[in-house]
Amino acid sequence: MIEDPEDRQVLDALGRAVPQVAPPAALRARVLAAATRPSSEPAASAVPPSSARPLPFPDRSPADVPQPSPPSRWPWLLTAAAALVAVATSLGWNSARGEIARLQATISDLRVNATALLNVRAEFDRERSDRERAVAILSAGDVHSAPLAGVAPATAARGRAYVSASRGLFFAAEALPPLAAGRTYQLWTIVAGQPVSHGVFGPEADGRAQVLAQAPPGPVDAIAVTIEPAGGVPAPTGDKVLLGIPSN
Amino acid sequence: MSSEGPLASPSKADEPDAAADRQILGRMAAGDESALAALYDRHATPVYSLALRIVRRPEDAEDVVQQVFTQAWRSSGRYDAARGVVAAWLLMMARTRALDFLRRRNPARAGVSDDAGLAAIPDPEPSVEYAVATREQVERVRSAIDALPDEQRLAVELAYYDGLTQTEIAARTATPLGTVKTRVRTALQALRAAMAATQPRPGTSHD
Repeated sequence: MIEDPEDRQVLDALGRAVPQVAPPAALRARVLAAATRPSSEPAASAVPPSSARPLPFPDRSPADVPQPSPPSRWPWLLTAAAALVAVATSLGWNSARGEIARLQATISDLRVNATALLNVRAEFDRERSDRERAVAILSAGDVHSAPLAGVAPATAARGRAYVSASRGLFFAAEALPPLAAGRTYQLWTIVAGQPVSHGVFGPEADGRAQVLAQAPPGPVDAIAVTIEPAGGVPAPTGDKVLLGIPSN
Repeated sequence: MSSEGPLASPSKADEPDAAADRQILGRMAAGDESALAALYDRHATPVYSLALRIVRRPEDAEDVVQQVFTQAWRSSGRYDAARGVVAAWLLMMARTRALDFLRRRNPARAGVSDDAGLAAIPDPEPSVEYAVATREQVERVRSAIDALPDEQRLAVELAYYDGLTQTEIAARTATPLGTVKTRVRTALQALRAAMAATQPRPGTSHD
Protein backbone atom coordinates (compact mmCIF):
# COMPACT_ATOMS: atom_id res chain seq x y z
CA MET A 1 0.00 0.00 0.00
CA ILE A 2 2.83 2.32 0.84
CA GLU A 3 4.23 1.75 -2.59
CA ASP A 4 1.26 3.50 -4.08
CA PRO A 5 2.25 7.11 -4.83
CA GLU A 6 -1.28 8.19 -4.16
CA ASP A 7 -1.01 6.81 -0.67
CA ARG A 8 2.19 8.74 -0.16
CA GLN A 9 0.17 11.83 -0.86
CA VAL A 10 -2.46 10.73 1.65
CA LEU A 11 0.31 10.17 4.18
CA ASP A 12 1.68 13.64 3.53
CA ALA A 13 -1.80 15.06 4.03
CA LEU A 14 -2.14 13.15 7.30
CA GLY A 15 1.12 14.68 8.42
CA ARG A 16 -0.11 18.16 7.57
CA ALA A 17 -3.60 17.67 9.00
CA VAL A 18 -2.36 18.12 12.56
CA PRO A 19 -2.79 21.44 14.36
CA GLN A 20 -0.05 23.73 13.14
CA VAL A 21 2.19 24.96 15.95
CA ALA A 22 5.14 27.26 15.38
CA PRO A 23 8.30 25.96 17.04
CA PRO A 24 9.93 28.05 19.77
CA ALA A 25 11.96 30.89 18.30
CA ALA A 26 15.12 29.72 20.05
CA LEU A 27 14.99 26.38 18.26
CA ARG A 28 16.08 27.91 14.94
CA ALA A 29 19.56 28.87 16.07
CA ARG A 30 19.99 25.57 17.89
CA VAL A 31 19.00 23.53 14.85
CA LEU A 32 21.14 25.51 12.43
CA ALA A 33 24.18 25.23 14.68
CA ALA A 34 23.70 21.52 15.27
CA ALA A 35 22.86 20.59 11.69
CA THR A 36 25.89 22.25 10.13
CA ARG A 37 28.29 20.78 12.64
CA PRO A 38 30.72 18.49 10.79
CA SER A 39 29.24 15.02 10.74
CA SER A 40 32.34 13.55 12.40
CA GLU A 41 31.14 15.22 15.58
CA PRO A 42 28.53 13.40 17.62
CA ALA A 43 25.04 14.71 17.23
CA ALA A 44 24.13 17.22 19.87
CA SER A 45 20.66 15.85 20.30
CA ALA A 46 19.67 15.45 23.89
CA VAL A 47 18.54 11.93 23.13
CA PRO A 48 20.97 9.40 21.68
CA PRO A 49 20.06 7.58 18.48
CA SER A 50 17.94 4.50 18.85
CA SER A 51 19.82 1.26 18.90
CA ALA A 52 16.74 -0.69 17.95
CA ARG A 53 16.13 1.28 14.78
CA PRO A 54 19.21 2.69 13.11
CA LEU A 55 18.93 6.21 11.88
CA PRO A 56 18.90 6.21 8.10
CA PHE A 57 21.56 8.64 7.07
CA PRO A 58 24.12 9.35 9.76
CA ASP A 59 24.74 5.63 10.08
CA ARG A 60 25.78 5.20 6.48
CA SER A 61 29.39 5.01 5.48
CA PRO A 62 31.02 8.40 5.29
CA ALA A 63 31.73 7.90 1.61
CA ASP A 64 28.03 7.63 1.01
CA VAL A 65 27.32 10.93 2.66
CA PRO A 66 28.76 13.84 0.72
CA GLN A 67 30.37 16.48 2.87
CA PRO A 68 28.75 19.81 2.25
CA SER A 69 32.04 21.64 2.36
CA PRO A 70 35.75 21.09 3.01
CA PRO A 71 36.59 20.49 6.66
CA SER A 72 38.97 23.42 6.55
CA ARG A 73 36.00 25.69 6.89
CA TRP A 74 35.24 24.33 10.30
CA PRO A 75 38.18 24.69 12.70
CA TRP A 76 36.60 27.49 14.67
CA LEU A 77 33.41 25.51 14.82
CA LEU A 78 35.08 22.47 16.34
CA THR A 79 35.55 24.26 19.62
CA ALA A 80 32.03 25.59 19.53
CA ALA A 81 30.72 22.17 18.59
CA ALA A 82 32.54 20.53 21.47
CA ALA A 83 31.07 23.11 23.79
CA LEU A 84 27.64 22.50 22.34
CA VAL A 85 28.00 18.76 22.84
CA ALA A 86 28.97 19.34 26.43
CA VAL A 87 26.02 21.66 26.92
CA ALA A 88 23.66 19.26 25.20
CA THR A 89 24.93 16.34 27.27
CA SER A 90 24.38 18.28 30.44
CA LEU A 91 21.01 19.36 29.11
CA GLY A 92 20.08 15.73 28.67
CA TRP A 93 21.15 14.94 32.19
CA ASN A 94 19.52 18.07 33.50
CA SER A 95 16.40 17.17 31.56
CA ALA A 96 16.17 13.84 33.38
CA ARG A 97 16.88 15.48 36.69
CA GLY A 98 14.39 18.17 35.86
CA GLU A 99 11.79 15.52 35.14
CA ILE A 100 12.43 13.88 38.50
CA ALA A 101 12.26 17.26 40.22
CA ARG A 102 8.99 18.02 38.47
CA LEU A 103 7.54 14.69 39.55
CA GLN A 104 8.69 15.25 43.11
CA ALA A 105 7.13 18.70 43.06
CA THR A 106 3.93 17.18 41.73
CA ILE A 107 3.87 14.59 44.49
CA SER A 108 4.53 17.31 47.02
CA ASP A 109 1.71 19.39 45.61
CA LEU A 110 -0.63 16.42 45.72
CA ARG A 111 0.27 15.82 49.37
CA VAL A 112 -0.44 19.45 50.16
CA ASN A 113 -3.73 19.23 48.31
CA ALA A 114 -4.66 16.04 50.13
CA THR A 115 -3.85 17.65 53.47
CA ALA A 116 -5.88 20.71 52.54
CA LEU A 117 -8.81 18.51 51.55
CA LEU A 118 -8.56 16.59 54.81
CA ASN A 119 -8.56 19.91 56.68
CA VAL A 120 -11.61 21.06 54.76
CA ARG A 121 -13.33 17.81 55.57
CA ALA A 122 -12.42 18.12 59.25
CA GLU A 123 -13.82 21.65 59.21
CA PHE A 124 -17.04 20.38 57.67
CA ASP A 125 -17.22 17.63 60.26
CA ARG A 126 -16.74 20.15 63.07
CA GLU A 127 -19.41 22.42 61.67
CA ARG A 128 -21.82 19.53 61.27
CA SER A 129 -21.13 18.39 64.82
CA ASP A 130 -21.68 21.93 66.13
CA ARG A 131 -24.91 22.23 64.18
CA GLU A 132 -26.13 18.93 65.56
CA ARG A 133 -25.26 20.01 69.11
CA ALA A 134 -27.07 23.33 68.62
CA VAL A 135 -30.13 21.59 67.23
CA ALA A 136 -30.06 19.16 70.14
CA ILE A 137 -30.01 22.07 72.60
CA LEU A 138 -32.73 24.05 70.80
CA SER A 139 -34.98 21.01 70.58
CA ALA A 140 -34.34 19.73 74.09
CA GLY A 141 -37.39 19.36 76.32
CA ASP A 142 -35.78 21.34 79.12
CA VAL A 143 -34.49 24.27 77.07
CA HIS A 144 -34.97 27.82 78.32
CA SER A 145 -34.07 30.87 76.32
CA ALA A 146 -33.12 34.35 77.43
CA PRO A 147 -32.68 37.49 75.34
CA LEU A 148 -29.54 39.53 75.95
CA ALA A 149 -29.57 43.27 75.43
CA GLY A 150 -26.67 45.53 74.62
CA VAL A 151 -25.15 47.51 77.45
CA ALA A 152 -24.08 51.10 76.75
CA PRO A 153 -22.16 52.05 74.79
CA ALA A 154 -22.83 48.82 72.79
CA THR A 155 -26.56 49.44 72.76
CA ALA A 156 -26.98 47.99 69.26
CA ALA A 157 -25.64 44.60 70.32
CA ARG A 158 -28.14 41.87 71.09
CA GLY A 159 -28.18 38.16 71.57
CA ARG A 160 -30.03 35.13 72.84
CA ALA A 161 -28.98 32.23 74.99
CA TYR A 162 -30.55 28.75 75.02
CA VAL A 163 -29.83 26.70 78.10
CA SER A 164 -30.63 23.02 78.46
CA ALA A 165 -29.45 21.38 81.64
CA SER A 166 -29.26 18.07 79.78
CA ARG A 167 -27.77 19.21 76.41
CA GLY A 168 -25.76 22.34 77.07
CA LEU A 169 -25.73 26.03 76.25
CA PHE A 170 -26.07 27.71 72.84
CA PHE A 171 -25.49 31.42 72.53
CA ALA A 172 -25.81 33.65 69.47
CA ALA A 173 -25.23 37.38 69.19
CA GLU A 174 -25.05 40.08 66.56
CA ALA A 175 -23.92 43.68 66.23
CA LEU A 176 -21.06 43.09 68.61
CA PRO A 177 -18.49 45.92 68.48
CA PRO A 178 -15.07 45.03 67.15
CA LEU A 179 -12.51 44.24 69.83
CA ALA A 180 -9.36 46.16 70.55
CA ALA A 181 -6.08 44.27 70.19
CA GLY A 182 -5.38 41.93 73.11
CA ARG A 183 -9.04 41.75 74.08
CA THR A 184 -11.64 39.02 73.89
CA TYR A 185 -15.29 38.51 74.62
CA GLN A 186 -16.11 36.10 77.41
CA LEU A 187 -19.48 34.49 78.09
CA TRP A 188 -20.72 34.01 81.67
CA THR A 189 -23.63 32.66 83.55
CA ILE A 190 -24.33 33.54 87.15
CA VAL A 191 -25.30 30.44 89.08
CA ALA A 192 -26.03 30.68 92.79
CA GLY A 193 -24.38 34.08 92.84
CA GLN A 194 -21.17 32.85 91.29
CA PRO A 195 -19.87 33.56 87.75
CA VAL A 196 -19.33 30.52 85.56
CA SER A 197 -17.23 30.98 82.42
CA HIS A 198 -18.53 29.45 79.22
CA GLY A 199 -15.54 30.40 77.14
CA VAL A 200 -14.03 33.23 75.18
CA PHE A 201 -14.86 34.18 71.60
CA GLY A 202 -14.33 36.87 69.02
CA PRO A 203 -16.98 38.28 66.73
CA GLU A 204 -17.01 37.60 63.00
CA ALA A 205 -16.32 40.53 60.73
CA ASP A 206 -20.06 41.22 60.54
CA GLY A 207 -20.37 41.37 64.35
CA ARG A 208 -22.00 37.99 64.73
CA ALA A 209 -20.85 35.27 67.13
CA GLN A 210 -22.02 31.88 68.29
CA VAL A 211 -20.91 29.83 71.26
CA LEU A 212 -21.60 26.22 72.15
CA ALA A 213 -20.77 25.35 75.72
CA GLN A 214 -21.40 22.99 78.59
CA ALA A 215 -24.59 23.50 80.53
CA PRO A 216 -24.27 25.68 83.60
CA PRO A 217 -24.13 23.71 86.87
CA GLY A 218 -27.51 24.95 88.10
CA PRO A 219 -30.36 27.38 87.60
CA VAL A 220 -29.11 30.52 85.84
CA ASP A 221 -29.66 33.88 87.50
CA ALA A 222 -28.13 35.95 84.72
CA ILE A 223 -26.18 35.67 81.47
CA ALA A 224 -23.55 38.20 80.46
CA VAL A 225 -20.82 38.92 77.94
CA THR A 226 -17.84 40.96 79.06
CA ILE A 227 -14.69 42.28 77.40
CA GLU A 228 -11.63 40.68 78.99
CA PRO A 229 -7.94 40.35 78.35
CA ALA A 230 -7.08 37.87 75.60
CA GLY A 231 -7.31 34.29 76.87
CA GLY A 232 -10.03 35.10 79.37
CA VAL A 233 -10.14 35.40 83.11
CA PRO A 234 -11.56 33.23 85.97
CA ALA A 235 -14.06 35.90 87.01
CA PRO A 236 -15.39 38.86 85.04
CA THR A 237 -13.35 42.04 85.35
CA GLY A 238 -14.21 44.08 82.24
CA ASP A 239 -17.10 46.05 80.84
CA LYS A 240 -20.38 44.28 80.21
CA VAL A 241 -21.48 44.28 76.57
CA LEU A 242 -24.56 42.06 76.80
CA LEU A 243 -26.77 41.18 79.72
CA GLY A 244 -29.82 38.94 80.00
CA ILE A 245 -32.08 37.43 82.65
CA PRO A 246 -33.67 34.04 81.95
CA SER A 247 -37.44 34.07 82.02
CA ASN A 248 -37.89 30.88 84.01
CA MET B 1 -4.74 3.64 -9.08
CA SER B 2 -1.52 5.52 -9.20
CA SER B 3 -1.53 5.91 -12.96
CA GLU B 4 -4.01 8.70 -12.76
CA GLY B 5 -5.60 10.83 -10.13
CA PRO B 6 -4.32 13.78 -8.22
CA LEU B 7 -0.69 12.85 -7.92
CA ALA B 8 0.61 14.66 -10.96
CA SER B 9 -1.55 17.73 -10.65
CA PRO B 10 -0.60 18.86 -7.15
CA SER B 11 3.03 18.50 -8.07
CA LYS B 12 2.43 20.99 -10.82
CA ALA B 13 0.39 23.17 -8.54
CA ASP B 14 3.24 23.19 -6.05
CA GLU B 15 5.81 23.63 -8.74
CA PRO B 16 7.03 27.10 -7.70
CA ASP B 17 7.47 26.01 -4.07
CA ALA B 18 8.90 22.66 -5.05
CA ALA B 19 11.35 24.32 -7.43
CA ALA B 20 12.42 26.77 -4.74
CA ASP B 21 12.95 23.91 -2.32
CA ARG B 22 15.03 22.02 -4.85
CA GLN B 23 17.14 25.09 -5.43
CA ILE B 24 17.60 25.47 -1.69
CA LEU B 25 18.73 21.87 -1.42
CA GLY B 26 21.20 22.45 -4.21
CA ARG B 27 22.70 25.36 -2.29
CA MET B 28 22.80 23.23 0.83
CA ALA B 29 24.68 20.55 -1.04
CA ALA B 30 27.21 23.21 -1.92
CA GLY B 31 27.66 24.05 1.74
CA ASP B 32 25.55 27.21 1.86
CA GLU B 33 24.37 27.45 5.44
CA SER B 34 21.99 30.28 4.65
CA ALA B 35 20.13 27.81 2.44
CA LEU B 36 19.54 25.58 5.45
CA ALA B 37 18.15 28.57 7.30
CA ALA B 38 15.82 29.18 4.37
CA LEU B 39 14.72 25.56 4.38
CA TYR B 40 14.08 25.77 8.11
CA ASP B 41 12.02 28.92 7.75
CA ARG B 42 9.90 27.31 5.06
CA HIS B 43 9.24 23.97 6.74
CA ALA B 44 9.96 24.13 10.48
CA THR B 45 6.34 24.66 11.46
CA PRO B 46 4.81 21.61 9.72
CA VAL B 47 7.78 19.48 10.82
CA TYR B 48 7.51 20.64 14.42
CA SER B 49 3.72 20.31 14.42
CA LEU B 50 3.77 16.72 13.23
CA ALA B 51 6.56 15.84 15.65
CA LEU B 52 4.65 17.43 18.51
CA ARG B 53 1.48 15.55 17.59
CA ILE B 54 3.39 12.27 17.72
CA VAL B 55 5.76 12.71 20.66
CA ARG B 56 3.50 15.14 22.60
CA ARG B 57 6.41 16.61 24.55
CA PRO B 58 7.71 19.94 23.22
CA GLU B 59 11.32 19.17 24.15
CA ASP B 60 11.19 15.89 22.25
CA ALA B 61 9.54 17.56 19.27
CA GLU B 62 12.38 20.08 19.23
CA ASP B 63 14.89 17.24 19.13
CA VAL B 64 13.00 15.71 16.22
CA VAL B 65 13.15 19.01 14.33
CA GLN B 66 16.88 19.17 14.95
CA GLN B 67 17.37 15.63 13.67
CA VAL B 68 15.27 16.23 10.57
CA PHE B 69 17.16 19.33 9.50
CA THR B 70 20.50 17.81 10.41
CA GLN B 71 19.65 14.87 8.19
CA ALA B 72 18.48 17.19 5.43
CA TRP B 73 21.79 19.07 5.60
CA ARG B 74 23.90 15.94 5.56
CA SER B 75 22.09 14.18 2.75
CA SER B 76 21.30 17.20 0.62
CA GLY B 77 24.00 16.14 -1.82
CA ARG B 78 22.17 12.91 -2.53
CA TYR B 79 18.85 14.54 -3.15
CA ASP B 80 17.40 13.65 -6.53
CA ALA B 81 16.14 16.99 -7.69
CA ALA B 82 14.35 15.45 -10.64
CA ARG B 83 12.08 13.29 -8.58
CA GLY B 84 11.69 14.36 -4.99
CA VAL B 85 9.37 16.78 -3.32
CA VAL B 86 11.38 18.24 -0.49
CA ALA B 87 8.42 19.19 1.68
CA ALA B 88 7.07 15.64 1.69
CA TRP B 89 10.49 14.19 2.35
CA LEU B 90 10.99 16.44 5.39
CA LEU B 91 7.59 15.51 6.75
CA MET B 92 8.23 11.79 6.33
CA MET B 93 11.52 12.20 8.15
CA ALA B 94 9.71 14.04 10.92
CA ARG B 95 7.28 11.17 11.34
CA THR B 96 9.99 8.51 11.28
CA ARG B 97 12.15 10.32 13.82
CA ALA B 98 9.18 11.13 16.04
CA LEU B 99 8.10 7.49 16.04
CA ASP B 100 11.69 6.63 16.97
CA PHE B 101 11.23 8.78 20.05
CA LEU B 102 8.06 6.90 20.91
CA ARG B 103 9.83 3.57 20.55
CA ARG B 104 12.68 4.72 22.75
CA ARG B 105 10.19 5.86 25.35
CA ASN B 106 8.51 2.48 25.23
CA PRO B 107 11.29 -0.05 24.72
CA ALA B 108 8.83 -2.94 24.80
CA ARG B 109 7.73 -1.85 21.37
CA ALA B 110 11.21 -1.27 19.96
CA GLY B 111 11.86 -3.06 16.74
CA VAL B 112 8.25 -3.87 16.09
CA SER B 113 7.55 -3.23 12.45
CA ASP B 114 6.20 -6.45 11.10
CA ASP B 115 2.96 -6.49 9.28
CA ALA B 116 1.94 -4.23 6.47
CA GLY B 117 0.23 -1.06 7.43
CA LEU B 118 0.81 2.60 7.84
CA ALA B 119 3.49 1.80 10.38
CA ALA B 120 5.52 -0.11 7.83
CA ILE B 121 6.75 3.04 6.20
CA PRO B 122 10.44 2.70 5.36
CA ASP B 123 12.96 5.24 6.48
CA PRO B 124 12.70 8.14 4.13
CA GLU B 125 15.22 8.35 1.34
CA PRO B 126 15.89 11.62 -0.40
CA SER B 127 15.92 9.86 -3.73
CA VAL B 128 12.45 8.40 -3.35
CA GLU B 129 9.62 10.17 -5.04
CA TYR B 130 7.49 11.90 -2.45
CA ALA B 131 4.11 13.35 -3.07
CA VAL B 132 3.11 16.47 -1.28
CA ALA B 133 -0.48 17.34 -0.59
CA THR B 134 -1.82 20.77 -1.34
CA ARG B 135 -3.36 22.87 1.36
CA GLU B 136 -6.78 22.21 -0.11
CA GLN B 137 -6.15 18.48 -0.04
CA VAL B 138 -5.00 18.68 3.54
CA GLU B 139 -8.25 20.38 4.44
CA ARG B 140 -10.15 17.67 2.58
CA VAL B 141 -8.29 14.95 4.39
CA ARG B 142 -8.81 16.66 7.72
CA SER B 143 -12.54 16.82 7.09
CA ALA B 144 -12.52 13.23 5.88
CA ILE B 145 -10.76 12.13 9.07
CA ASP B 146 -13.36 13.93 11.15
CA ALA B 147 -16.11 12.25 9.15
CA LEU B 148 -14.74 8.74 9.63
CA PRO B 149 -16.56 6.41 12.01
CA ASP B 150 -14.84 6.52 15.40
CA GLU B 151 -13.30 3.06 15.11
CA GLN B 152 -11.84 3.82 11.68
CA ARG B 153 -10.48 7.18 12.76
CA LEU B 154 -8.92 5.59 15.82
CA ALA B 155 -7.29 2.90 13.68
CA VAL B 156 -5.81 5.46 11.29
CA GLU B 157 -4.60 7.69 14.11
CA LEU B 158 -3.01 4.81 15.98
CA ALA B 159 -1.30 3.71 12.78
CA TYR B 160 -0.09 7.07 11.58
CA TYR B 161 0.47 9.15 14.69
CA ASP B 162 1.38 6.37 17.11
CA GLY B 163 3.13 4.17 14.60
CA LEU B 164 1.29 1.06 15.69
CA THR B 165 1.23 -1.95 13.40
CA GLN B 166 -2.14 -3.41 12.60
CA THR B 167 -1.39 -6.28 14.96
CA GLU B 168 -0.69 -3.78 17.73
CA ILE B 169 -3.85 -1.85 16.93
CA ALA B 170 -5.81 -5.08 17.20
CA ALA B 171 -4.30 -5.77 20.61
CA ARG B 172 -4.72 -2.18 21.80
CA THR B 173 -8.36 -1.98 20.78
CA ALA B 174 -9.26 -5.59 21.60
CA THR B 175 -10.38 -6.07 18.02
CA PRO B 176 -9.75 -9.00 15.65
CA LEU B 177 -6.86 -8.32 13.28
CA GLY B 178 -9.06 -8.85 10.25
CA THR B 179 -11.43 -6.18 11.48
CA VAL B 180 -8.57 -3.77 12.02
CA LYS B 181 -7.27 -4.39 8.51
CA THR B 182 -10.72 -3.75 7.10
CA ARG B 183 -11.05 -0.55 9.08
CA VAL B 184 -7.66 0.77 7.97
CA ARG B 185 -8.35 -0.16 4.36
CA THR B 186 -11.80 1.41 4.39
CA ALA B 187 -10.51 4.54 6.08
CA LEU B 188 -7.68 4.91 3.59
CA GLN B 189 -10.12 4.53 0.73
CA ALA B 190 -12.16 7.37 2.19
CA LEU B 191 -9.06 9.52 2.53
CA ARG B 192 -7.96 8.70 -1.02
CA ALA B 193 -11.40 9.66 -2.25
CA ALA B 194 -11.12 12.94 -0.37
CA MET B 195 -7.78 13.59 -2.03
CA ALA B 196 -9.07 12.71 -5.46
CA ALA B 197 -12.11 14.92 -5.07
CA THR B 198 -9.80 17.88 -4.98
CA GLN B 199 -8.81 19.38 -8.25
CA PRO B 200 -5.92 21.60 -7.32
CA ARG B 201 -5.76 24.99 -8.84
CA PRO B 202 -2.57 26.64 -9.99
CA GLY B 203 -0.90 28.41 -7.13
CA THR B 204 -2.42 26.17 -4.50
CA SER B 205 0.22 25.20 -2.04
CA HIS B 206 0.67 24.02 1.49
CA ASP B 207 2.86 26.88 2.58
